[in-house]
Amino acid sequence: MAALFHRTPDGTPCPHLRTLISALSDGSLSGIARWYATQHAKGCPRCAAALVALRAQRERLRALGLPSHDAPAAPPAPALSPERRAALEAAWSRLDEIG
Amino acid sequence: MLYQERTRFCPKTRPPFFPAKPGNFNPAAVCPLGTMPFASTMSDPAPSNGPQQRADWRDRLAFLSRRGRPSREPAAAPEQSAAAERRAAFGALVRVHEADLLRVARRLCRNSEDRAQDLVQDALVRAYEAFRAGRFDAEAGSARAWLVRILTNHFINEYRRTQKWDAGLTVDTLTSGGAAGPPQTHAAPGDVPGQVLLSETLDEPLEHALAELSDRLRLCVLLVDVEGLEYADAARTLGVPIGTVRSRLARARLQLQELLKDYARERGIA
Repeated sequence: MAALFHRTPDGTPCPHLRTLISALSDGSLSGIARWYATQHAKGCPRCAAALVALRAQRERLRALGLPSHDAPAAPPAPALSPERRAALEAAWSRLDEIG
Repeated sequence: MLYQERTRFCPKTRPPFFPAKPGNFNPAAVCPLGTMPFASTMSDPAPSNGPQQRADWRDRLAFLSRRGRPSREPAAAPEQSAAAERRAAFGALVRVHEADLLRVARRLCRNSEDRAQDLVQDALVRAYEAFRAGRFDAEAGSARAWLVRILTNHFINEYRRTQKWDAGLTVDTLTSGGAAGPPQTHAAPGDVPGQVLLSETLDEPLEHALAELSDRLRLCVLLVDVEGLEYADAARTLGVPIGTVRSRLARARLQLQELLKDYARERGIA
């Protein structure tokens, strides 16, 4: 039975637990689903490897959302251009006038 | 009305003809004796002297009807100050989260700076409308999540229809399979727009992989994994159930893994 579900770890979880393992990697599972996925991952090398890989990938994605501490050669503008800022202020003023 | 006028009465009659309330004072009334106008004195002109006199007593009547207090014109200053405060509060909110919004917009627009700035500009106008209408509840969630939600909704509603895809793709032709779909339906890494910006980011392979995902999957990953929104917030933003967000995230994360492996294999890294 184990041979059907526990195959060589290649970074992908077992097909029937794909969504649960993905949710377990970001901590959004709770209750019986969390217990089941955790117990399965303990006994399944494939899902355990997938869990580690998904958590590492999630950390890389979170780093994309954080401000960069290393200054790149030409950093993207952190604010709107002056023309767009002026147009935005004008639009807000029009909204205030309309009431 | 002057106090003296209020107390004037026909010298030949008693105070019953003294008006109990200013509102019903009628100086043109004739006293019961019918001998003299009620409100007139020797020093005042008779009411029948013309419209000027009638205008005067009407003004005095209006004055008394306000309980003797000076009339208050509608204050324009308090309304203007409230609008200015609201504008200042929203401006402060925008200054704090502007950089985050631009970062999200760049990824939504596949790193096209012009489109990202347009998207943020339009989204902030909509956000101000909602803010003025009182639809921002500071206790319901963070301001950043609220702004990101508005930005994403605007992107979904507007930019998916009008976006020009430099790789020759359209929303209709791109399958949800991403890299697993037919080769003609996904862009090669060299065709991704905004490549100059991508090369300056710290995690270029991941940015490439993100840009290759389909819209639906990329939005889920951006909102939950990159921007850190809760599943409920992301589901509300995208207008889908939480279970749909969960399943799309699972698919997207596995596709990203495959794309990253392909990227590394093409460059001989792994």
